[in-house]
Amino acid sequence: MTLLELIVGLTVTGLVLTAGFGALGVLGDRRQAVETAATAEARAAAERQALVDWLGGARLVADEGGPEFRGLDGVRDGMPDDQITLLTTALTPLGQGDMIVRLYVDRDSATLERGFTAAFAEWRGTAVARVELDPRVAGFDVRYRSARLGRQDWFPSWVSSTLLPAGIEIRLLPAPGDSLPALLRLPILVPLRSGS
Amino acid sequence: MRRRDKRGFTILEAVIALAIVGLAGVAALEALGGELRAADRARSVSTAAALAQDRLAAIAIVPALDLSPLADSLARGAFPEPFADHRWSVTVRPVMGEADLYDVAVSVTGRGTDYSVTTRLYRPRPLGAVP
Repeated sequence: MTLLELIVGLTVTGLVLTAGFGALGVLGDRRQAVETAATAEARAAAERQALVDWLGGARLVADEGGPEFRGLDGVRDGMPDDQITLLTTALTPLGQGDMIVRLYVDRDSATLERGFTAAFAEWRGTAVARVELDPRVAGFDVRYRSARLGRQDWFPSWVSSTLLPAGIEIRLLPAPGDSLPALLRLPILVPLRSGS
Repeated sequence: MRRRDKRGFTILEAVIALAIVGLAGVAALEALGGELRAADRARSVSTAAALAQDRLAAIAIVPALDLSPLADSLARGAFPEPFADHRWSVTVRPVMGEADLYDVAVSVTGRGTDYSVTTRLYRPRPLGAVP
């Protein structure tokens, strides 16, 4: 092998290695971005599904002294600050059975949770649990769909021990300067099986 | 007996070696790219599935009398931001011979994904309503 052949060989090898490592680097960065986005999206989809399950399993048992459906409309620091409390038969972190679920934005510095939070309590028991659903949520806006007052319409609040709305729409809002995954920015619409 | 040349690699050998290394590299990069495309596609399908569920929920709260024919605003349209590049179409057809039962088909398209879901919806008409 002559010196010229050696130099040409080394140059070609160097160029190939540079291109190969460059491509690997780009793919590695892209892989990390895709994995991060996929994880965030999967988490958001799971959060949406959990909300659909909990709210969709709402039921009223006024004749058994059960809790009423309580959807309160509120505003705090210019952000919607609604709350929902209901009895659900859906699977919750406390297990299967009749559970009281409260959805709200936790701003209390004395608690461990921040942002959008779900609190659970057994209806006929003493077990309780709280789950921080998303700490980036600063505003929680809910409206209720029903035809009970004539034509079907949206209502900003709903409190009843005998009637459930036909559907619930939830909007989650991030704190100013913050953002939420795309799937959580889309309003979450939940039909209630026993609503009207 | 013929003596083997001991001077080193021939150009042919070098080219073949480089070709093999190059092919292996291209195959590895292609495999990595394929994995990324699959992950990206899975994410798109997951998003489309959530959007389709949203449209099914919208149909589920429509009063039975308004299901067939379905209003244009519920039959097709585009999602709001951040999914403005996704479109949906919904068809609702009464099931033949079955009162109050409807076949519902939802299709969501966008970002190279076409996702469809079908289900049956039981929506009893209010008492006294004309079928």
